Amino acid sequence: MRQIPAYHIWPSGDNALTIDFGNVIDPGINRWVMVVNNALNKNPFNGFIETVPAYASLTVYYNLLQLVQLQKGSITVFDKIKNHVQKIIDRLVVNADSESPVTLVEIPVCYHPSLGADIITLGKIKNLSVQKIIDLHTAGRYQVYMTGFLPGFAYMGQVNDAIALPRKKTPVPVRAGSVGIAGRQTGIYPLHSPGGWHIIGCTPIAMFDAAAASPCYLKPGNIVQFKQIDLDEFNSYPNRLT
Amino acid sequence: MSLTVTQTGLLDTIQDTGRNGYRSLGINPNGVMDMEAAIAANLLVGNPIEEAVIEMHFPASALLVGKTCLMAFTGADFNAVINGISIAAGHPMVIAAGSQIQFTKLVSGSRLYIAVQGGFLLQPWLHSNSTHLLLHKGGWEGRKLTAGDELSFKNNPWEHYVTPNNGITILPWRVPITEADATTVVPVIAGKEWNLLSEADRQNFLEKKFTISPHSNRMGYRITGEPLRNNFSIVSTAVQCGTIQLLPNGQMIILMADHQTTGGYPQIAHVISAAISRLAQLRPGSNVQFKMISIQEAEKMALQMALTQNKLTTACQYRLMEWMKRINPANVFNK
Repeated sequence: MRQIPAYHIWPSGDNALTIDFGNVIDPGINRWVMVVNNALNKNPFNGFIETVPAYASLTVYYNLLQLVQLQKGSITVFDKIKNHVQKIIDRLVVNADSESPVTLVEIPVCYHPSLGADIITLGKIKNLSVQKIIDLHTAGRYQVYMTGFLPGFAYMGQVNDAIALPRKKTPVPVRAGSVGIAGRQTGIYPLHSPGGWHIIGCTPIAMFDAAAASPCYLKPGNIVQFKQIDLDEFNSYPNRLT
Repeated sequence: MSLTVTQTGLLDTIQDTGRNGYRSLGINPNGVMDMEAAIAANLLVGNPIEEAVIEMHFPASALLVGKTCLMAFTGADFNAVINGISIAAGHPMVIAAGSQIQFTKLVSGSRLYIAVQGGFLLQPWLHSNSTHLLLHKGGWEGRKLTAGDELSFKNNPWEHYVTPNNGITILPWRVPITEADATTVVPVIAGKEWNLLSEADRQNFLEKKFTISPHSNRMGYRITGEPLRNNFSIVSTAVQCGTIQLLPNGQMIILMADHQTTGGYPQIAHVISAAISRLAQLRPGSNVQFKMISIQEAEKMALQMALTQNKLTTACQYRLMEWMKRINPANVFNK
């Protein structure tokens, strides 16, 4: 975390720009995305709308119609925002040890095959017992790289190579709360949806709650640890998602 | 009730200028497809531009006006018929309580907007009245309007206004309505993966015509034509309305208002802000030709769009104010 990795700033359309750290899925790079994300949200510029962190990029949305009317001289709005962003990033390099604040979130998961049938298949392919898969999955601390695909769907990584498996070729219906593995990533489906990840369990926690002021349980940058619960605990969990 | 849906349309939803601030959680902004037309509808009736409107597709809902109101239709022309009389779109009009509104023919464009003075009484979700169809939230009960729905206006200032016998007073000014071209030139700027395309594919993209496929909706327009080569593996990154993604089969999709927040397909180009409204009015089967421009030119066109909107705001305010003076509001409006 000492030296910011090389990056490039692209226009993402005419009303957004993307700070791009390369075409990689890497926890260290993603932590830098979160550091820059925090810094930008703490120093919003006039016309700033919002940011979206992804694996190795941060996209910044701005109000073009407003900014273009305030713009003077020949410099473009894009260049002006780009310069602003670069200045903020340059200041980060000086304080290279500044890290984004990290929130550790514990998520209970029931790994019973009735809730995550793919745990059996995964065990056969990887020559592991079901309990060994559970132990490996609960041992890791996973970074939320980004959310997307569905509201509140958190892409997390990285799982132990021993339980990594490429995603299915054809998506199948998946229930809300399902915990899956795809490659070295793990994730939780917030809603009933078609899904291509290998489902190994289910959490009773609502990952998406439209009535809440902040409707998504996980946010980019959170650190997640899974905790094994049994079927009784799952079924009796308060406010369980059905 | 103020406005009752008497017949269900194909896809008529409540939308506003969008739900910002939640993209990082995977909640996209939704909102109107044709921002310019929706804003014009609001301006015609004297509303702030953020007021929620009805976005209609053809065949559109039939409506019964329960309370006399000032209303405007903009965007597409669906041949509006009020109390049996065909009405030119784009005007503000006072419509009397008891009036029947039908949309009988797809004349031009794809999406029609209805604004009512003062707006509809709604419960915002995450600070917006846009309908999130996937989550069943926002807008009107999170879904498309269906027969039997009874919408309320926020206020009722026209109660004592007397319209002619046919129930309609059309105010004598209008905004232009979408007209169709044989081929629409769509200005784009280069996307992050533009340079990964081969020289021949870049040339194809800019020189060939592409067609908007029937598999197009508020999430995105599928574009068919000469397939481009796609053997790139890209990690997901944020996308937005106007982003042109290259699919694994070499065809393209232009993301529209209901797009997902992130995507793992190459982003070869982005439709510029000033061209989205025009695109939003194209129908399946329409031809488009992409034209690569610089970010400077895109911003110049955005400035033009902003200035046009400012002019329209002033003109609409002035015309409405002058007209209200003439009809002597003291006799018309509730205290």
